[in-house]
Amino acid sequence: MLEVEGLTKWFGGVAVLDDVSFTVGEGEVVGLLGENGAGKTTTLRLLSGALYPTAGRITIGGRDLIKSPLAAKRKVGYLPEQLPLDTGMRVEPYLHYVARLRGLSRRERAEGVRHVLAVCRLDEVADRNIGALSRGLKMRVALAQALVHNPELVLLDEPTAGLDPQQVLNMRELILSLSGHHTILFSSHNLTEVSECCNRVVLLKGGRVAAEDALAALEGRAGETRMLRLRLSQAPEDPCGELSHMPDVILAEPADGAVPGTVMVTVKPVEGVRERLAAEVTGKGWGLCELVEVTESLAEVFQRHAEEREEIPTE
Amino acid sequence: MNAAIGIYLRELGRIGAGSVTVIALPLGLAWAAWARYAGLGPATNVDPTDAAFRSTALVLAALTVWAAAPALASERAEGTSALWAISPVRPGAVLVGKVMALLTFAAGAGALLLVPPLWGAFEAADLAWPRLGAGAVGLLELCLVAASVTLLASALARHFSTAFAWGLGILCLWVWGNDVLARAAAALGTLLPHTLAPALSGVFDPVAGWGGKAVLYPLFLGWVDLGAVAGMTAAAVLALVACHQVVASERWRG
Repeated sequence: MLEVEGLTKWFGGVAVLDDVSFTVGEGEVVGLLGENGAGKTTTLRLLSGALYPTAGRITIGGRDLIKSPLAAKRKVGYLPEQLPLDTGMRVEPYLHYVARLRGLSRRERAEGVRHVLAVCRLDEVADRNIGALSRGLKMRVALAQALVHNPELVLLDEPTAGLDPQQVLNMRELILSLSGHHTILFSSHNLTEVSECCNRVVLLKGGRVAAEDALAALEGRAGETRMLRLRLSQAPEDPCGELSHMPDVILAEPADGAVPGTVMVTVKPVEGVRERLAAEVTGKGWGLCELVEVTESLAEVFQRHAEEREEIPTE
Repeated sequence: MNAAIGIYLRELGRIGAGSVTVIALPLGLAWAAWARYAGLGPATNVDPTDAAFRSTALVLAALTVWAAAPALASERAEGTSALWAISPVRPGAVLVGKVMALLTFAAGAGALLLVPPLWGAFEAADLAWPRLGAGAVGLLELCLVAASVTLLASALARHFSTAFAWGLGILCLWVWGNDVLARAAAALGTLLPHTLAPALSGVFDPVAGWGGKAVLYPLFLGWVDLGAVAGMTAAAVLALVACHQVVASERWRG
């Protein structure tokens, strides 16, 4: 459905995206992960046709976005980070306006608007002014504009940003309901969301694809170890050496930027490992102040995964 | 085409609900009524030598500038211009929709504003319809230029008030620029050394003369002057081509 090859974008002499390539198959839900400034929004804006790439090729449903922009754009629905809503318009006329922009005929417009009002659960606010809606409803209107022409590919940029927990759940549910009908590529900081909604993840780092993998593979990796954070008030100068030799401990290292005496310990995911480690440390008289399990985020696992890949020597 | 119609209808709705219709148009109408009944007297047909008609025409042009100023600047500021970039819409369709909406507004506002000055001509049965028709074409041309130039300013500006100031400034320069430049040339000529004065006059004379040859007055007069029509149309097209380039540029898309 979507093929991205060597996508590069320069802004004022800086390469925001550098040789990005990935594919998204028909019906897939793919998450675009990365830190702020990794190039997620730029990637989505390039894929939507809002920006022109400096180099590279984007093919959407067999149509080259650069050579045939109008044909390719008909296949794409985009929910940008800054919602493109006319706050002076009512919901239904706004959607009719967008449907016209997407080139729908009178009948298609009526059908498309009726459909998205139902799908995005906007029927009750169809006559209300967009400016008077809550953030959650505005987000749904913005999603409706992305879907009104029934696009094959839907691009969502941070679709739950700024929503309250209930609205996040509603939006997540909505995205899930779209999978199967559309191919979806969305960026998010919310890793739970990515885990719940995506089949596959593309990690961007410094404008490059750091990794691209199936979610199940990554989650499998994440379950291989557990990470504990220890804070010790009377630790020796280097407790990591001794900690590394304790039962079930894989690795111990000082925590970067944390309070002195804080150590990150990677352990095997076996039952009772926390209790055994606490007993060992207490027995040594190191003044155990804190022992908490740190849930390693999907992004961290993903990033580590990517770094490990880079370290694999090539023969 | 479909997109241009959509943009046209929405822009018309925006203008209809905007300050230009709610505030400025009633004020313009009040001015025209005042000019007719208290200030400048009844107009005798569409004639710019008649103060009532000329002032009404300028008010209409200013209203068009007011309506056009937010057309692109506000869309960009609110982020709704992103819809054009991500939809299968050419920048030309955007401009066609906007310009047509502005001309529709100008035609409606012109029809309203011309009622007071022409009322006297109706009463005196002194109305020459061909001349009125030619005058109306002239007014629309004037509004087309005002709309096009202000649209360009609106595409370049971040805020509609900046676009309004630019649009109105250019309109004023066009209407009164001849006098202003001639006076500036005369004033500077007396201030500068004698050696520089001829060179300055070489620069200013053609510029000042441009206003005299400009296309506005013949159309104001209600004469169909082909040179005037061509000149005004060329000015409008030039402004719209420049506007198209700005709207199509990646920088404008943000």
